[in-house]
Amino acid sequence: MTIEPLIEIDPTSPVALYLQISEQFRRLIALRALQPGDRLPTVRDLAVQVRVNRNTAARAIQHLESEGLVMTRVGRGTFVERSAVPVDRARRDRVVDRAIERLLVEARTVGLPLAELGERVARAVERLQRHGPPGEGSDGGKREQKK
Amino acid sequence: MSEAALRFERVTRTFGRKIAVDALDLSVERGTVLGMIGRNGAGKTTSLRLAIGTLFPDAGRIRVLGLDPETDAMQVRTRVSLLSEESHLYPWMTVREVLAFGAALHPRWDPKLAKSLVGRLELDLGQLVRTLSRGTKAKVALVLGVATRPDLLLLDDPTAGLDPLVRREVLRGVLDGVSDEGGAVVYASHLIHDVERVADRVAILDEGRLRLEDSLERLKADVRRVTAVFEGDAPGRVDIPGQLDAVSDGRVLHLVARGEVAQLESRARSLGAREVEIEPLSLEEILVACLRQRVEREVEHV
Repeated sequence: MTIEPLIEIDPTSPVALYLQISEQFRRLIALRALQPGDRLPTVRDLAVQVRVNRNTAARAIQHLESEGLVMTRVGRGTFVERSAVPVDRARRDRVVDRAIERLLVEARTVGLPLAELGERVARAVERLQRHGPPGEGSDGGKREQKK
Repeated sequence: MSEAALRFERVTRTFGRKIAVDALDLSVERGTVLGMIGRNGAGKTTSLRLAIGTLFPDAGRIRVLGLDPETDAMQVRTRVSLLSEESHLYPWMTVREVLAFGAALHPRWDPKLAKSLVGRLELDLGQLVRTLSRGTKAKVALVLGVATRPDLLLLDDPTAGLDPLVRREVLRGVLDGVSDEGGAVVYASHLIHDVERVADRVAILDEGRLRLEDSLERLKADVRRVTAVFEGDAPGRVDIPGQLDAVSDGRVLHLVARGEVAQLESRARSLGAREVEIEPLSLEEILVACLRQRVEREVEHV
């Protein structure tokens, strides 16, 4: 499949390119643009289409494998796993919206400017993409920003 | 297959009194892409010409795929391609003739790859070279350079001055053309974002010397911008371990340095900073920090 227009990466971002690519695949799977049983491009094709080196493309696919989203069958290719079906979107959005609601109330209570809240969330997302959930990575990126 | 794709050991090359490449050590492993960046005149073009053997060093040792470009010239030319900003194609030939010429000259020509590139790049085989636009010429040069499935592909800003669509296609062609068996690429360019996209490792050249060489990912993970705010004026001179650049402006000190977040923060605090903010940097910002420091040193010497 032609994956190129669907995968957007930002080379200037501090998030490693392979993680950006695997995040985009995760998004495509969540959107059901990629469905269980669909075949992913080969490492070489992925590299050529997204314009990254092959090592980056290979790591992106390995990352998806390690997360159980895809499975490589030797000689046949890499396929989206059956278990990669995302949770129901409406339910997912409700859960996240409720959590955001709580966060906003808390922030207002302690007097945090809302603009700063947005910034902090963006940074937290970046840290998560770089280091994985807190407690998993080396320093967990916990101290990336300290005042 | 164990030899590096390219190895420079203390290579020096001068042109008259100008030292173009100065005791340069460089190594490119097989199966990797090295991005080479720096200002104009930093020694990028000379390094690539030394690698393919159209120039020879005054001192030092060069090995390309384990071969010496001076004594094994034929072998090196068969296995290495150089793509430059200015392509040299015979203007009276048609695109078809240029490619047939390349195929006839080259023992490793891959007609299938050539054909697929011609299709993808939408080249008109009947067109005369002299009537081609700059972008189209670059595409023809690309087919010539990669259809030989080089083990080492040297790129000297081949997409400079091309429109973004052609640039994308050329970059794709490059990535498609690299040999599967450990083919390596050296990509010298001013288009930092393209380098940041395709490179495994990055070498920053400055005045013929290697300023910095590392894995791109490690570089971006390790080099940080430290903004330190002081009660009064920020110190004018600082020198902390891992520092690449330091500029102070009123009560703010901007540092670019390698190191862990906690480490950098405690160093900034030990200088007396009250507020410290630490952020990641893009490759372009890292390059600027590396080169600015040199400019400031020069000013001092005057």
